[in-house]
Amino acid sequence: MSFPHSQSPSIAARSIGARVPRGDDPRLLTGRGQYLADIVLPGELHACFVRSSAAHARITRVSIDEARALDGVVAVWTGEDAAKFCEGIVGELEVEGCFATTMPLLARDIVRYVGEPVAVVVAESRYVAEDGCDLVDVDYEPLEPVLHPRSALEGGPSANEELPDNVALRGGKVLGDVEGAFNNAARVIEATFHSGRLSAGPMETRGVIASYDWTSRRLRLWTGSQMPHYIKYCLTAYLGFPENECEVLTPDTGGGFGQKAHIFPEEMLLPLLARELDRPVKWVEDRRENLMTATHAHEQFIDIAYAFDSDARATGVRIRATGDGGAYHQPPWSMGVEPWCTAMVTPTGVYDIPAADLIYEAAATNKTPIGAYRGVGYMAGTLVRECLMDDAARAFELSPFDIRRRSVVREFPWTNPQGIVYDEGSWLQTIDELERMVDYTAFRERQAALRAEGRFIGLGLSVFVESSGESTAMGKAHDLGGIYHDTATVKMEPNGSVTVTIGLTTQGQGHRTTMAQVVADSLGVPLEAITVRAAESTTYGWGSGTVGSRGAVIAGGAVLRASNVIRTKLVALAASMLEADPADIDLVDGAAVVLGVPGSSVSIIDLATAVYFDQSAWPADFDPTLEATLAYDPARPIFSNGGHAMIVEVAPDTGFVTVEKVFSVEDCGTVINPDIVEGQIRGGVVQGIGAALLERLVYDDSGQLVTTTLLDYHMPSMDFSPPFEIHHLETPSSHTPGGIKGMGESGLIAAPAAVLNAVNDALSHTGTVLHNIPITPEQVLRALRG
Amino acid sequence: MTQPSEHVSVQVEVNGRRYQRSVMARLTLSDFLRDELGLTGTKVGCEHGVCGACTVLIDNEPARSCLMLTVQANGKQIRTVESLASGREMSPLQACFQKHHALQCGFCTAGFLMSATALLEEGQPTREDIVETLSGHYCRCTGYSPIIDAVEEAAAKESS
Amino acid sequence: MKSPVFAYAAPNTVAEACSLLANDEDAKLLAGGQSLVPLLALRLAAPTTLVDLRLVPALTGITYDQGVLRLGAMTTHRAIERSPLVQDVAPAIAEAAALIAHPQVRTRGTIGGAVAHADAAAEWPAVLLALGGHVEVTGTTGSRSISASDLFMGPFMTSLEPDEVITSVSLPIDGREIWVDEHQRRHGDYGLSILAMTYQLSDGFLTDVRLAVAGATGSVTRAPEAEAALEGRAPADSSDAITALAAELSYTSDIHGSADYRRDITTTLFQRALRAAGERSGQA
Ligand SMILES: Cc1cc2nc3c(=O)[nH]c(=O)nc-3n(C[C@H](O)[C@H](O)[C@H](O)COP(=O)(O)OP(=O)(O)OC[C@H]3O[C@@H](n4cnc5c(N)ncnc54)[C@H](O)[C@@H]3O)c2cc1C
Ligand code: FES
Ligand code: FES
Repeated sequence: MSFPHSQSPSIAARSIGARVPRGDDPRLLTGRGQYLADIVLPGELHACFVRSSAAHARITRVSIDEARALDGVVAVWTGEDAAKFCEGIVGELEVEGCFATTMPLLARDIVRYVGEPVAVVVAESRYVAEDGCDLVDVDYEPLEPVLHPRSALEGGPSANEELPDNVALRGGKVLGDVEGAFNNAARVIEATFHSGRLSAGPMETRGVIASYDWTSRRLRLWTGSQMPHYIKYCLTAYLGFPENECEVLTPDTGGGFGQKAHIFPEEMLLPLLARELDRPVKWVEDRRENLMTATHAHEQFIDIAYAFDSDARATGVRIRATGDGGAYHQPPWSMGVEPWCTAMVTPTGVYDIPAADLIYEAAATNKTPIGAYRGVGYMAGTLVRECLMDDAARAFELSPFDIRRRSVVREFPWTNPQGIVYDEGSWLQTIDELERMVDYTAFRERQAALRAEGRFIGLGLSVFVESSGESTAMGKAHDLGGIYHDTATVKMEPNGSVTVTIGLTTQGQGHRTTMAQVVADSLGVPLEAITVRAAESTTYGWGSGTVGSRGAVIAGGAVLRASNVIRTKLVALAASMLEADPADIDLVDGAAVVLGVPGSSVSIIDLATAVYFDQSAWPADFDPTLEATLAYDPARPIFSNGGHAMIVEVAPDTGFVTVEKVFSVEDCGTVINPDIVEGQIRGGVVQGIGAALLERLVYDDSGQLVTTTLLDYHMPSMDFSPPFEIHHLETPSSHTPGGIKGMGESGLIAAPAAVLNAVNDALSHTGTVLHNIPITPEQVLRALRG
Repeated sequence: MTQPSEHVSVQVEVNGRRYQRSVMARLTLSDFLRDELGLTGTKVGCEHGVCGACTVLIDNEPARSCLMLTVQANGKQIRTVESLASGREMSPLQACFQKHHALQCGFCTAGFLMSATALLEEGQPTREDIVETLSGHYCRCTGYSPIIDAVEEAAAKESS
Repeated sequence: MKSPVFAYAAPNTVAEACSLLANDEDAKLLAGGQSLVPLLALRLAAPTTLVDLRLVPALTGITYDQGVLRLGAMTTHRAIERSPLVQDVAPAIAEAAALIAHPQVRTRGTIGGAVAHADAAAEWPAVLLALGGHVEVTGTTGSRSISASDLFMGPFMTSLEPDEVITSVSLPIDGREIWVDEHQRRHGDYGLSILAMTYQLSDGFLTDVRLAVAGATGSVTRAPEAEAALEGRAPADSSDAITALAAELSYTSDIHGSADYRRDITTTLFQRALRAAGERSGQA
C-alpha cells in the first residue's frame, strides 16, 4: 500500500533529541490546569448513577418516586428511558471468531456485573444526586453468576444471553510444523499462567460534561477521552446528534493509560440528559466507580509451551490464551484484543521460532468488562514468553542472556511465522547491553555471598518487541481491520509564529512539547514561537486516538508533512528574496540562510511578514496560504524494542519483594525528547511492578468486587519506586518522520516478566517457580519455607 | 446548648485571604476550596484519604482536604498550590519539578508539592524523609524517582 | 462519594458533647475524621448528628506524671510522634505513632479516635493493651476509667456507652521495656501484623510480659499463653512461646493474606521482638 499520506519528508534533527522542558509544566505546577472537574458551566446539573449491587440478576422492580420527589433532584432515568433513544453500544473485535454484544446505556431487564448502571439521578449538586441514588430502590431476582472463564467456555449458565455459550471470541492458527517441533524437541518448557485483573487507575477518574443548545442543535461534550473524534462519531452514529453541530472537547487529562480510550455508556447518556433536560449535565466518576466499572484489564489464563532443540534454541510454541472478559465488549477494544494479541502476536517475540500453534479465546463472565490498559495483550504475552525463557535457562543451565541469544533474530528484515515483517531492530544488542549494564558475573557473585548470609536477591530479564505507531498497515499486518490516520494543521502568522493543531489528545505524555520540537526543526523557528493544540476540540483535525504508542510517530508524521508545505513556501520566498537556488536554502535559528554563503540570510519573521503584506517579494506563481492540513499514516508497521533487567530482594520473614534496581534498554528509533521517553519508561515500569507485586481486583464467589477502594486495590507508592538506569539504542525507522518509532507502553509490557523472573531467580534454591502475577508475599514465603 | 445544624458558618484564611461563608455541614474542605472558592488547583483523586491529590497545608501541616469537613478548618490558615508561586515566578520546588520532569499529567502534582513544601519548611529532609512523607501520595505517571530527585534538589538549594 | 446529610454541632465542653450524644441515638462523635469521613463518603455510616470535639479544650495535651503518660483524646498521632516529652520518656510510643498511615493522615487523626474506632489493624489498641493502659471516659452520668482489657470487645467494637466520650488515654510508663513494630506491605499501610510487647528484664530473664497482636487477628488481642511461656525465660529460650502464639490466636484471612500467612509473619515479628529483647538484655 502506498498513499501520499504515508510519505514523510526528511528532517534535520536540531531540537529533536534535546531534553526540552515541557511548556505545559508551569501551568500545571501552579494549579492552573483545567481538568474536567474544574470546568463549571452556568446552570450545570450533576449526574450520579445507581449501580447494580448484583453480579447477575433479573431486575424485577425499580422504584424511583421517592428519589424524584427529593428536593433538588431534577430527573431520574431508568433503562427504559435511555432505551427510547439508544438501544446500546455495540462492541466486537474485527477478527475471525468474534461475536458482538450490545451494552445498554442503563441496564433494563437484567444486570450482568456489579457496578453496571441501572438508573441515573440528575440533581442540582453531586451531594443531592447521591442522596437521590440512595432513594432509588431496585429489586433483583438473582441469576447464577458466571465467574470462571475457562469453565464458562465449557458450558453451563451464560453470563450474557447474547453469547449463550459464553464464547465472545474463539479462533487461532497453526503455522509451520508444530508437531514436528514438539516431537523432536530436546526439551519442552511449559506452564499455565494467570495474570491478574487490573485497573489502569489513572489519578483522574473518568468524567463527562454535556451541554446542548436546542436553538442551534449544538452539542458540546467535554470528556477526558483518548479518542475524542471517535466519541464524536458515536454521538451521531448512536444518538443521531447532527455531526456538524457536535463538538467534543478534551480538557487537561489526568492520565488515561488506555482506560479512557473507550466509549462508555455514561458518555452517551449525558448528551441525552442535557438535551432532554435543557441544562448542562456533569458527571465526575468517583474512585469507587472507577475501580468498579471503568473497565478492568489484562486478566488472562494462558497455557504455553516452547519446544527447544538440544542447542537450547526454541523451535516451536503452543499457546492458548483465555481472557476473562466481563459481561460485554467495551467498544472499540472489546474483551477480545487482550487474548487475541497475546496468542496471535506475542509468542514469538524477538525469537526465531518457526512453528506456532496459536489459540485465543475470550469468555463472557459476570464481571466488569475488560478494556485496554497500556500494552494491552502485550503484557501478558511478554510475561509468559519471557518467564518461560528464564525457566528454560535454568533447565539448560544457561544464563538468561545466553538462552535468549540462542534464539534471538539477528538479521533484518525479518518475517515471523505470523507473516509480520520487522524492518529493523536492535534485538540482539538489547540483550548484550543489558548483560553489560547488570554486570552479570558480579551479580552472581553477590547473590551467592548474600545467600550465604540468608539474604535472597534475584535477577530477572525480559526483552520485548512491540508494535508502535498503531496504523492501518499495522492492522493489516496483523489481520486486524481498522483504518487509521491522523491530521495536523500548521499555520504560520505574519510575525512568524506557528500554531499547530493535532488530532491526538494528550494525557500527560508531553505531545505539545515533542510536536513543537518537530516543527522547530522543520521551520527553523524557536520553540517559544510555536503553540501546539492537542485535540482540545474536535473542531479541527482528525485523530484516531492516543493509543498503541501512536503519539510521536503519527502526530509527528502529520505535523511534519504539514509543516513541510509551509517550509517549501518559505524556502521559495527566501530563494527569491536572496536570489539563491531553493536547494541551497536552509531554515535554521529563526532565519533562511543560503548554504555556503555566510551573511546571506533573511529572518523567518520577515519572510512571514512578506507573505502576508508584501506581494512584491513573492516569486512567480506564489500561493500565500501559510496554513496546511495533512494526514499521515505510516506505510508499514513500526516496531520498537528493548528490555528490562531487574534485581529484587525477597524478605525471608515476610515474603515481601523489593525491587532494588531497574535497568532499561529502549530502542524507539530517533528519540525526540529523552526526558519524555525516560518518563514513559519509568512510569510504565512502576505500573508493571504494581501489576507484578501489588495490584489485583478481586471478586468473591458471588461475583461481588471486593477491591472497591484504594485501601484494598494497592498501587505502587513512592517506597516501591526503584532507582533506574536507562540506556537508549537508536535504530531509526527507514520510513517514518525522522526515523521516530513510537513508545510509551514498553515499561508495562515487559516489567512484570522481569519482576517475576527476578523473584524466581531469588527463589531458585527452593525449587519453586511462580507463574502468576501478582506475586503475593504469601507465595514467596511459602516457597522459602519449602 | 449548641444546636446541631445542617448548615454552618465558617471563617478561614486561604492563601492569605479571609473568607466567610455559610456552607453545608457535610461539605468537605476539598469541595469547598474547589467549588466555593474556585481554587481548583487542589485535586480530588479518591475522596477517601489514600491518593493524596487533595493535600493542602492546614496551619502549615499537610492534611487531606477530602477528609476534612470545611467546618473543621474554621479559624485555620490554609495554603493550597495556588499560593506557591510568588509574583510571576515559580517556587524553587516547582522549578525543580519541571527540571526533573517530575510531572506528566499533573493531576497528582499539587498534593506532592504541598507535602514537599511542608517538608522543606521543617528543615533539611534526607532522601529517606522524602520517601517516607511522599509515600502518602500516588502518582500513576512518573514512577516517582524524578519527584524524589526534584525535592532533593529543592532541599539542597534551600540550604545553600 | 459525598457524605449524607447530618446536623453538626461543635460543643465547648465534654458535658455538652455527652448530652448531644444522648439527645440523638444516631449521633456520632467526630475527632480527626480520618476514619469517619471516609465512611461518610462511602455512605457506610450515616449519623444524623455529628458532634465535633475540636472545640473542647480539655481534650488536648500530653502530660507525664508518676509513671503515667496521659494523652488527651484529641492529641494527633503526629503530635505524639513529635512530642519531645514522649520522645524522652517513651521513645517507643513516639515510634509507634509514626507507624500509623502517612504524615498527612497523622496530622489530623487522633489517639482518642483511633482507640474508639477500634480497627482490628490499628496500632494504638495494641499498644494500649500491651502497656496495660486505660482510657478516661465521660458520659451523661459521670466519668469512669476503662482498662484496655475491658475496652476492646471486637472489631470496631468497644465497651463505650453511646453517650460516652473518651477524654484521655493513659499509658503506664514505668521502666518496663516497650517494643512495637509491624509488617506493612507499603509505607503507611495498615499492618498485616502488628505486635506490641512490654516486659521487665532482670538478669537476662523476662518477667511481667504482656503481648498484644493486631492486624493479623480478627480484633486486637492479648496472647496469654505466649506471655506465660516467656515468663522467667531468657529471650533466646522462646520456642514454647513462639509455638503458643501461633496456636492460641485466631488469625484472619482476607485478600491481603491468609490466616496461615498471618500466623507465619506474626511469628517472625515475634522473633524480631525477642531478638530485640535479647539485645537489650545483652546491653543491660
Ligand atoms: C489512608 C489512611 C490510612 C490509615 N492508616 C492507619 C493505620 O495504619 N493505622 C491506624 O491505626 N489508623 C490508620 N488510619 C486511621 C487513622 O489513624 C484515624 O486517625 C483513626 O483511626 C481515627 O481517628 P480520628 O481522630 O480520625 O477519628 P474519627 O475518624 O473522627 O472517628 C473515628 C471513630 O471514633 C469515634 N470517636 C472519635 N473520637 C472519640 C472520642 N474521643 N471518644 C469516643 N469516640 C470517639 C468517632 O465517633 C468515630 O466513630 C488511616 C486512615 C487513612 C485515611
Ligand atoms: S482525594 Fe483526598 S486523598 Fe485522595
Ligand atoms: S503526573 Fe500523572 S499522576 Fe502524577
